[in-house]
Amino acid sequence: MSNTVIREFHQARWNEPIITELSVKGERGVLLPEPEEEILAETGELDIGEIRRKSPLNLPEVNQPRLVRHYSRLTQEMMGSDNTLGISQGTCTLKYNPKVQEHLALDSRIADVHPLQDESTMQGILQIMYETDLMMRELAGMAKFSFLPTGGGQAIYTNAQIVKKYHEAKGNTHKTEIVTTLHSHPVDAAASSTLGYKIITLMPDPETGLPNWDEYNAALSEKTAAIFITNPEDTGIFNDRIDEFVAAAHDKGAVCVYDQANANALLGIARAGDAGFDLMHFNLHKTFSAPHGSDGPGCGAIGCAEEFVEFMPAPTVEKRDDFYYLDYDRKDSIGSIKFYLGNVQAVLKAYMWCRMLGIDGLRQVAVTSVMNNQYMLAEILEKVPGVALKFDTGKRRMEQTRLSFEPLMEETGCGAIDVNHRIVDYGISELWMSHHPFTVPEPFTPEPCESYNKDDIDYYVEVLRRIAEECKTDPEMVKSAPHKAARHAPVGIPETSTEQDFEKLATTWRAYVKRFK
Amino acid sequence: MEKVKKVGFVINPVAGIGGKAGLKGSDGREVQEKAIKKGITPEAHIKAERALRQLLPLREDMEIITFGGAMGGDIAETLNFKVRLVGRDKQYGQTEPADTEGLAEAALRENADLLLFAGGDGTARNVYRAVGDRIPVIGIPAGVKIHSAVYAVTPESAGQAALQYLQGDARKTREAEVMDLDEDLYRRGIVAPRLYGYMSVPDNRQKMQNVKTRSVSENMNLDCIATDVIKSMEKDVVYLIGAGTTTRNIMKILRLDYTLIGIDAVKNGELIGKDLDEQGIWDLVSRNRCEVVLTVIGGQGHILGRGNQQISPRIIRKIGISGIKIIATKDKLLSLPLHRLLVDTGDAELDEEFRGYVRVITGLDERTMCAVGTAD
Amino acid sequence: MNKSTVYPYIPNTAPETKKEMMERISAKTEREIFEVIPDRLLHDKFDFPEAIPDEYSLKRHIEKILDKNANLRTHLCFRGAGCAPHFVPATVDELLKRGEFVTAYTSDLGDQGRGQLQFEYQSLMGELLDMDVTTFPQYDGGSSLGHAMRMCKRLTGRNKVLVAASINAFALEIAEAYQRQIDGNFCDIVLVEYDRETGLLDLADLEAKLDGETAGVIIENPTFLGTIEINGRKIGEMAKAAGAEFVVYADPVSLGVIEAPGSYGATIACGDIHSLGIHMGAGSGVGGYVMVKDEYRYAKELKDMMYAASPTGVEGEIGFSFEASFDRTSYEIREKSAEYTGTSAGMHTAAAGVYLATMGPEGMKDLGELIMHRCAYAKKKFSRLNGVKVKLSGVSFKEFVADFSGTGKTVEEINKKLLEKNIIGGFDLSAVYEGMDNHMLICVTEIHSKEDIDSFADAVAEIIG
Repeated sequence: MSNTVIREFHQARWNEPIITELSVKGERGVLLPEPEEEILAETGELDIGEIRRKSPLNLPEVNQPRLVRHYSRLTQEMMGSDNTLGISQGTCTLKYNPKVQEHLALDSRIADVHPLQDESTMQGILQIMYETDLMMRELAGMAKFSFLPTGGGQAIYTNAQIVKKYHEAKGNTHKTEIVTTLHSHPVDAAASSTLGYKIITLMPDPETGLPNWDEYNAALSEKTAAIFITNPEDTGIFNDRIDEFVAAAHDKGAVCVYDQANANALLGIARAGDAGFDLMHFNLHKTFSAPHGSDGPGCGAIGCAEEFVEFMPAPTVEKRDDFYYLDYDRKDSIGSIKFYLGNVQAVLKAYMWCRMLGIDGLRQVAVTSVMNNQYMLAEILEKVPGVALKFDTGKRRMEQTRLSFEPLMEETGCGAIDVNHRIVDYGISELWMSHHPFTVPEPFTPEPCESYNKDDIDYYVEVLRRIAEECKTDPEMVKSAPHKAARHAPVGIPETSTEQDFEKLATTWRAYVKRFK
Repeated sequence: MEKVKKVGFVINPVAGIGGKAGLKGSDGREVQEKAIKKGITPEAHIKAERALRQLLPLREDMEIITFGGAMGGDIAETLNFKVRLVGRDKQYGQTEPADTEGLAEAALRENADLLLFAGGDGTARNVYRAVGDRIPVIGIPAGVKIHSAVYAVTPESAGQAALQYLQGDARKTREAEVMDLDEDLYRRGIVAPRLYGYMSVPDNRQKMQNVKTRSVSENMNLDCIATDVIKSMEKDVVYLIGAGTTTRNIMKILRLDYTLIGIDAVKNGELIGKDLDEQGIWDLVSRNRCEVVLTVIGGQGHILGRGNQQISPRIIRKIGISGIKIIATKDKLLSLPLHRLLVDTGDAELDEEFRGYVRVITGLDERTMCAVGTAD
Repeated sequence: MNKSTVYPYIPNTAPETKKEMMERISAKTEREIFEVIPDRLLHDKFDFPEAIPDEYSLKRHIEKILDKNANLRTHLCFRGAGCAPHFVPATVDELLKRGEFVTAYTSDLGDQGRGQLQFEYQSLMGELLDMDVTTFPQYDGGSSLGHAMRMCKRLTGRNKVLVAASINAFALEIAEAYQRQIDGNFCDIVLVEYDRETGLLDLADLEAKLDGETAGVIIENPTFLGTIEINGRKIGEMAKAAGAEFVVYADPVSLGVIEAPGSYGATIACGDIHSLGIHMGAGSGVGGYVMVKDEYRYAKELKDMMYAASPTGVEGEIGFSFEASFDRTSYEIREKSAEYTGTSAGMHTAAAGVYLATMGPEGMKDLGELIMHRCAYAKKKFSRLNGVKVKLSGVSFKEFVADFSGTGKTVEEINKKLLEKNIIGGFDLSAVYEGMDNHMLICVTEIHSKEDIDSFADAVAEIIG
């Protein structure tokens, strides 16, 4: 029981000034080499005319000790998975990022390699990319992987580009529509729309939470270029007819694209290829233990079936007689989508993670994630007042669950947003609510992935229970939270992009001074 | 010290009693007397109190504008709010619809920030008649019939919505439907709801403070939908634009005059018919290729048979189901019970033909699949 | 490895805990917890390499592989082409070791320190570029260029962007692909010639191509080929006169000595931040930026999330949020957004912020001078080599072009030979730029001492004989 005794938490609160305010005229943070005398003797004065900088360069002048204190303090005002429980952020999968991986990725032998070096001088990197490709193929049941996209969004966009190119190659000019579901990631719709596709969205069935089979078939037509779908969706409910969904789309000549950014529930269990998918992606920064890095760079590893290999972005990593090389000459390649080779450091981390765990360990990642989630769900529903499970309540959830604080809101006037303000006071990051638009009121979506033990989960549930109680006993205190975070909630951040709200928008210090000083 | 907030507070004391008496609705002196004779005790004031309690955190900074007695004064005083009485006391059994209207008008005159009223569809109509969309309102559900979207789901959520609105610095509103049935027909078992108009209600959806959660501004959504419809308009085709705020936006963008709760006709960018009746529409349909643009009316999801009975079965048959475009925001579709659209044309055979799935226009080049069915 | 192995990264594989939890969820077998997945969708035969379960052996395994990579410790590197070797101050490396930062993601109230870090990056970029509003980064310079092009079209309603032919070829390829839609290009790209003698934009060609359909004029400064575009202001004026946006793709590391784009007429600045203290990481170390002036019509066209600051209500306290004007983004409005957004390069922007604060104004000026002088020196050295012609007159920044056609050797051959001497030579332009057969793009930065440059030039001299 002692493991669920809530401990006193207070985040560091340094109220550090903006770096510009720390500036003291004449101070230096670092010195640079001087140009050698012999060089100056050769080069003399360098005239670049009126393009020489005359406008003031208002960068701060700060000594090095103060700089280091500044940044150390700022990092104390953060909640990463290294210092807090990342269970709140479902769909994002904040798992442990193993230290040995992080340390090696900063090693000069990868960190200080130029991306355009001769292949012979980067065999190590190419080998890691190639072998990670082979492992991913096995895990996904796909024919080839590319690690060029540096995020899940870019992976989806790249897959949409492949869809476009594929239909062009087949002369399918009539294919102008993309079918997706409301519970799939918004970028599935947005990236396709950026390419000019018309988007057909399926709402979740209010009973099952899944797309409705008849409705889906009514959405498909000869115009369907592709389906973009997630499974399990954000609800954590697995669509057990997924292969039939794929087959129905194939019947219309559509490409089937699987958004498997978060594949935590299915590693070593089920594969995109076996369900018939043509294209898919894994986020190495969600599923494969690369860190989120305070919003990237990540890696959206895209996998494709045999028929699509020629369409992959350039370059691909290939191997001939024990020599790894880059292939830029694919006949139907969509071309270049990313500088150089993509986020190679993330690939190294994924490689190490897969090798350490092996296939049995990867399978245990899935088993444990799902077990943890089912356990936490049972605990929440039993212990936390004011929570409702939405959609098919009789079905086991996979790695995450869409829940609702609707009963809490009805009873206390405090909902998911209020809980979020308060949870920070317990040293836990805000709950991920739901993608837009909400399909259930007061939503939240926790994800206790394999990195958390039973004590962590019990503690987390106890925090939720405490907050739900506080909503009843002291709603004002909850609504005015956080009280123990590094800062209080900012009050002037513009919510919308209207002209009126723009008057409050300060993304830089110079704008802040203009607007708020 | 912030400015004192003024809240108009109206209770229709007899709201709901018709239901308890098995009388479908509570309007009319006769019905009320019947209910009182049956010994039915009123509950509207209990519901109103549940809502008003939510405003207790603002008690010191707020003034309630109401009539003394059963129409609000009693409860507000019991909860120790500052109360300003703007009319004489009214006791249970003595109130008329005109009193509701009188009090609503008084609140408007006193520049109230918000008008909170407890009742049903009939009450909403009275309030609408008195103040239109000139003051933000929130309905506390207490009546037998609640078709109007101006009502919150529960008395508590009505109170919470009021609290959030009064506390917020950016006060945003949206329009919500005032609907009611013809009560004589209703008591005979015939459901014939009508759209009476729109009132202004607080839009607290904008207040959400978490990442990836806020709803896009209603206006942008509506503009995207209207743009899609206008983009696909063809030459010499007559477009019948149905009732509702979603459809009205098309007319606004085309810079045409419009009827909020009626049917207008557009051809080649010009208004060729305004607030048409069935015969007027039939005349157009007989001579032109026509398409209809409809939106969801009412909380149940009706696209036909609520507020647009002018579009009769013969007209629909002439145009064909494929000539009907449905427009709605995704939020609206998600708010429908069972995520389903309903048709009630009065012609069961025709209703049956609608059964299936439609592509609702939910944005520019954007469709959302939705099932269509009949009320049963 | 059997199923009862306890994995350090998977704590609940500890048998007793697992047993207790399985009981709580009423599952007797692992299959039961996946009961919603039908048998036909399960897969259990994987052809997978054997696990290396202990950390020590795994580390050895990786180090052996990484040993095969040439890097700045083993080789002198004169290759840039959009990703140059630069000095990384220890203050920056320190940040990358702070786990709270590296493992953070989407907390807002819980991550105020991170908010401040990103806000400071944005603020310092604003000073460097003389711009006011920016967002989360793009994936790289290429995607920032593509985004800037789309903004030009939305801002002007026109279809064509004029792009200097001397622009980063990698960025252009990505930006071009980003314009392609199923019904044609979002923006049509027309190249404007540059002067083959000076490397400067051909103003006559620009004049000829500017018309009422021009949405934007886009230059890189300094250009991919190292030329400092001294006519920046003039080009901006011509663009403005034609009603077009003026986009400058700028290497931020040059801006201690080169004028800020916002100060010579740029309405949109974009580019890559790799040079601001980010390790190359075989290409991992790139990130894009797009920045505009403090004007509503520009700000609302930015596609990515924004970190903004505002008072908190507590006297003297500032708070941060990345939800500012959130309804522009595809996270909120899905397909209604102008373009999609997603996880990009937040770790790098924070690092770049630390870098700029560490360098300070004097550091950035010193750095610019140093690079220009060393580059000028290297140009002189190479111009003295037999058969080598240094192309493009004028002062170069960080890169310059050398023509090896007169040496009887190809750039490829030379680079191969240089590797034997542990030198990574310049980038071979032959396949990339028209009229640049056997031209080498040589990159010289602050990390190259006179001695380094001398040994490079000597090695080349030896190879070409």
